[in-house]
Amino acid sequence: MHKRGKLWGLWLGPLIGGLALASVAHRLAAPSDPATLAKKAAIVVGELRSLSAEGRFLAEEGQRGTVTRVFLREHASQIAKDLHSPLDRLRRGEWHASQAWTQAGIDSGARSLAALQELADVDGSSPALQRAAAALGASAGELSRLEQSLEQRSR
Amino acid sequence: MNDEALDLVRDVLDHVVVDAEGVPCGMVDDLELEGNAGSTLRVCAVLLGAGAWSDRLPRPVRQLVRAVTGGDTVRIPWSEVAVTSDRIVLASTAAALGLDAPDRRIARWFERWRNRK
Amino acid sequence: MNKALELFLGILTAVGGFVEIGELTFSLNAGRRFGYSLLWVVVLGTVGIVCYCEMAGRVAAVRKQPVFHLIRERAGLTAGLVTLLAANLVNLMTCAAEIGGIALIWQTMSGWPYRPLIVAAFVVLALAMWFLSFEWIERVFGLLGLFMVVFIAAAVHSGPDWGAVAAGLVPGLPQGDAGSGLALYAYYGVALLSSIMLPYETYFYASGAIEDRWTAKDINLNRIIVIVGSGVGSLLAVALISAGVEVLAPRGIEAELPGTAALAAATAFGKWGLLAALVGMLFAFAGAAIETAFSAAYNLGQFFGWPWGKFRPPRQAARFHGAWLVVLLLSTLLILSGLDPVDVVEYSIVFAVVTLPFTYFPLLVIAADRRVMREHANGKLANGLGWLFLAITTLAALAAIPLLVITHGGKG
Repeated sequence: MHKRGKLWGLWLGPLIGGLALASVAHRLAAPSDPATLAKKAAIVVGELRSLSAEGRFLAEEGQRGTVTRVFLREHASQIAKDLHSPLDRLRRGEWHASQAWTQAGIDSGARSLAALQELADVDGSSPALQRAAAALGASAGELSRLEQSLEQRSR
Repeated sequence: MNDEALDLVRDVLDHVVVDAEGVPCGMVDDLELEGNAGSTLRVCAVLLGAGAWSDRLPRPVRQLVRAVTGGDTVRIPWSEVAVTSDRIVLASTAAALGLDAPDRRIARWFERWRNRK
Repeated sequence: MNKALELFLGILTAVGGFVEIGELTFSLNAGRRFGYSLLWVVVLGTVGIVCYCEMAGRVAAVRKQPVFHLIRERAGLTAGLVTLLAANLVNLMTCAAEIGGIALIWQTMSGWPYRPLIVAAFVVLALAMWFLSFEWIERVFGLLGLFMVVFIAAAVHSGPDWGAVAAGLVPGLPQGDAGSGLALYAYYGVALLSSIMLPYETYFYASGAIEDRWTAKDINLNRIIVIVGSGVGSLLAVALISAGVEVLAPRGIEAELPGTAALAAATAFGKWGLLAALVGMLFAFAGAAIETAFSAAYNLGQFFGWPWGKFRPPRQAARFHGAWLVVLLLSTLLILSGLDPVDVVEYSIVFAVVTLPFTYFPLLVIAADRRVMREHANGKLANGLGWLFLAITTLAALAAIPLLVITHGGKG
């Protein structure tokens, strides 16, 4: 066995492991103060905003005729499926349920989900796509404003 | 064969072993040595198999490895071995030494599965 | 095969196989968050993978020894075994993510349900790996992955700010989303570097050199394939960053699905752009799934001294063939359990960077050893670059997991 190889493995491996454990311990020990909670909530709301915005983009491309109907339906259902996770986290998160912003985020997320499910069932007609794009755009806008206010609270 | 002095760690241990036909058939997982204090250390055999390399692991892991792999060891006398710059060459074939047994066993499963279809 | 044809196909295969689902996602999101300011990492990573793949190919051609032989020889049994377990865990996760990615893309093309398509992907991959020769596997999946060049065309079509592109080639502070912070920038830098320098690429490349029966006469072929193939392939990563900047960032979209990338091509070229992107990604992901499954089997076979290689029939290398089939099956089961492919690959890329120094150190030591490589040992450039990238990947390995934790998995 190469001597340098042994020394290399002896210090680098434990150092990587030690730094990893230290960072996890630091994260677990971090206080759940309002700023930290606001930061975590901003991340979740950001995911909802991103997925809503993508749904709007998909609907707009559907209107322009740049995507196939199969792609439109299936990608919409994939986005809808992905949206369930941040929506559930917002509903069950450690942030106080009585906060008005939580409900606002849940409502916008639920509207996005409904619009995406409509997009997944859509017959490809322009009015249906336009409705879905408008609904998703409105939700994305609301969620974006909510995300920005949460990020300000986290600083 | 191999009468000169060798750096066993650099040139033998953990090197690939190929049979007389050039087919890989294991790694030098351990070495069997003979000699006493004050006399020349000589290699008697190379040891191949999970039973050999598991002995070199830390104790807590050794039992687990033996339980999973079976812990078999094949002993090849040093006279049957030639050390080249990058591999250890055996004088016999893997089949003659039984080193191809695991591949034959799994190949039989493949054959049975294929015949069933 | 005629050398010129072999070279041409080798380069095209390297280009088509450059991108997989992790690099796709990280490139898009790096562009979305930080504009072009991480382009220098793409250049750095490309030089790094060229450096180490060239060494791996050269050692394989001259000594007929693949990477995990070298790891066992030079790092020893215990360190080598830890590297083997870590490398194969990353291979398993990456393979699972690619299979999930294949199913997601196939769903958007066919309308068939996702979970049965995961099983179908497993069956198709297993049949291809069992019945096709190594050469045909490389050619089919590498060449059809070339449809991904639609992203390069889309990037040029979008009319990027070339000044910003040029500025991004110089290391500097993050542009774009100012709220994201330095930790997030560093996280994306490390992840992008890892996604370009994924260790399985080195294992697979060296094993492939032995599968293709390279000798010392193929050293120049090795150099050209690696330099040109990776260089052109890195343009795909640059194009994906551009898609993040020009298409996703203005719309506030974070890429979480392969279809998101396809939308970027659709907006430029309509349905043909969409289909080219989907076909390209399908075959690029399939190629990556095959490479990671084979890589896991190569690693096991080489570490334990089994007969290995596609060029050996199953009856002679049954453990090797059984190993890749088991890895493919386990990967399929992992993704069938409901895990999100993009989440899986994000973690696999971060953990991959941790294994990089342990992979590269033994390779560098052997490639530089004049006693064994003689006139084919590293020259000053290869040695200098080798040590530089070993230092860089060591720093990245130390920082990867803390950055993953601090940035909440790259979310902020």
